[in-house]
Amino acid sequence: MTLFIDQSGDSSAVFGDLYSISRQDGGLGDSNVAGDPTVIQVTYIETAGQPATADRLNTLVNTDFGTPIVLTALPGGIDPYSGLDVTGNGFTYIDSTSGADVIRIVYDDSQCVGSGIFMFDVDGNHISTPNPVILYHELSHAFRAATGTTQPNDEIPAETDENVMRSELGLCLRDVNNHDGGCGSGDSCGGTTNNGCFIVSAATGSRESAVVLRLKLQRDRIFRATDLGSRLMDAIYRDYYRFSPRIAAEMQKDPVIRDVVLSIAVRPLVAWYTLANVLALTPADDAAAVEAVAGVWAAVPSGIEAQEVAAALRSIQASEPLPADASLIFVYLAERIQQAPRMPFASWAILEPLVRVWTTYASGSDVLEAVQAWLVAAPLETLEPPAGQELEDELAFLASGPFAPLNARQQVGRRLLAAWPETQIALVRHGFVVVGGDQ
Amino acid sequence: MSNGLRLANVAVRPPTPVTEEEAAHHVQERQHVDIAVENSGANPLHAWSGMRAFAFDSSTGELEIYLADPSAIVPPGIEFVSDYPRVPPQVVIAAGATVTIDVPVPTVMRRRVPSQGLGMSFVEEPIENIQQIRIHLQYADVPFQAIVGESLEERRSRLQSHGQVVEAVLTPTSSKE
Repeated sequence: MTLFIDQSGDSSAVFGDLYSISRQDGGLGDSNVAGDPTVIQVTYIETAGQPATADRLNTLVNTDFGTPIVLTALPGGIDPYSGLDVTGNGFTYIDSTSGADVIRIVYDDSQCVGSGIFMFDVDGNHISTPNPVILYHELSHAFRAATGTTQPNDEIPAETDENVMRSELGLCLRDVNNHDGGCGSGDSCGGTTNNGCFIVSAATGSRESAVVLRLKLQRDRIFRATDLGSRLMDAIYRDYYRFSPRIAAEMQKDPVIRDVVLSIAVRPLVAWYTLANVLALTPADDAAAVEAVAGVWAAVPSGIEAQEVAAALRSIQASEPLPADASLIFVYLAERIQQAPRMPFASWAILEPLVRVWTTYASGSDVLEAVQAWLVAAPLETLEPPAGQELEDELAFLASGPFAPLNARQQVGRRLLAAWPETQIALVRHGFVVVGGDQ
Repeated sequence: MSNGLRLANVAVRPPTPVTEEEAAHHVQERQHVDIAVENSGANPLHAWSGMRAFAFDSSTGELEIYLADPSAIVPPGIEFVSDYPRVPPQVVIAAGATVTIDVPVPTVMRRRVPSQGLGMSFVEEPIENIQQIRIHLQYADVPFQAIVGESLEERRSRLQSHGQVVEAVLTPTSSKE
């Protein structure tokens, strides 16, 4: 047993990246190490049929190489052991400074402080390099270091392995003879590591389940319709990625957790998004709205005390102690998603709908109003504003769909005007701001 | 008239605060060190503009910045497996011109402390009250360019022998913004 996650770095990020490398295999886990609180040990019982990246991970986890491999994710800055700046990069080295050898992988999980990390394809184009790909590249180096098979130019086999993962994810392939790269954006070729509905996939038992496909359809209809929506979705996924892989892996191992999360969270959320899509994209279709409302109520399980669920979720959202009589499942969730309330996108996209749907159900209030209020609260103003024709198109889409009701549009308009003052004329043109009004 | 670069001036700008969202993702603030570099020679020169390493001594207030090959600073006991050095970002400084290089520097310095386990042991110290800045700036009369397919040793050797390094210790003269 060889692979360890360093607690001095961002251990959640490392686990999430390993979960991507395993291709969302619930056999991935971790355990404490007796006598050493500085690390957690990675465990992995590979599910049959997983792809090559999972096979490599399985080998690394379950082979005793005699030399531990320790993974540390840092948000850029100095690697305190080598003294080098890791921003926009990843390192693998053998550390013998404490006596016994340790193979250390240190990598920047901030994507070069948010600017992105690029490499080159065979045509010299910049291609994106998500964090799991960076880690997998370094694990390739570590594998050969652990097995004594490091090559004179070890970048070529590492980049060949890296391309295996890029291929699995649909990302652009790297030129294995060009070992350069840097900070900045790059083409993804349509692939991504962050569109996995990890928890929904785990709850329903498949990345291709009907619920997952329905959720992706809802997502693509409303969020992928525009660039602004896509960026909002990407921001939500960045948040979601911080806490969802560990929950998903645990759900795959524990049917009780899986069933409870499916019933109190996944099904109500999918129904909520379905209703939001109706209101946002076909606001005049009353029949569709009635059907979607019925879908929300049908998704809320009977036999559960809605007041208790609503109270517990509100406490989690507010980062407050749970009610004394809260069920153990909420204790579990509160611990696992404690970061989420501080993440505006995850909070809006996941916690807020859950709180609203259960509160609305418990109080018998109007779910249509609740969804409309939730749409209005979308944190669009925290994104960079579009410009030129793109701005016009975005505002036209928002004004005709999600924010068709004038009062909703003007509530959003107040926030957009404060955050994007340079867009005032366009906001006025599309009815988000009233000239001379109380903005 | 000199034929090289002169580190003429340095200023430190305060960081832009990170957003709540960035903080939740562990993004740390970056302050900006503006280094004015003067080319008093008759030919354009290509200077490295991306930081490769830095250090901060809180007891003296000295910030050390490497805009140069930093391989000499790797301590004994660390044997790199993956350290293919990338082509450094570079800026052209025309003859007789002065160019300001903006170097983002974290606001914390991680310093290794004695280890108690397999995990890294370090403390984070704020980089503040900077009294002086020691700058290592590598430059040449031609840009450093990639040669596709060159081995790690070839790349490292070329980087280390490329042009020359000017070093100076400057006192920050101003703090803007």
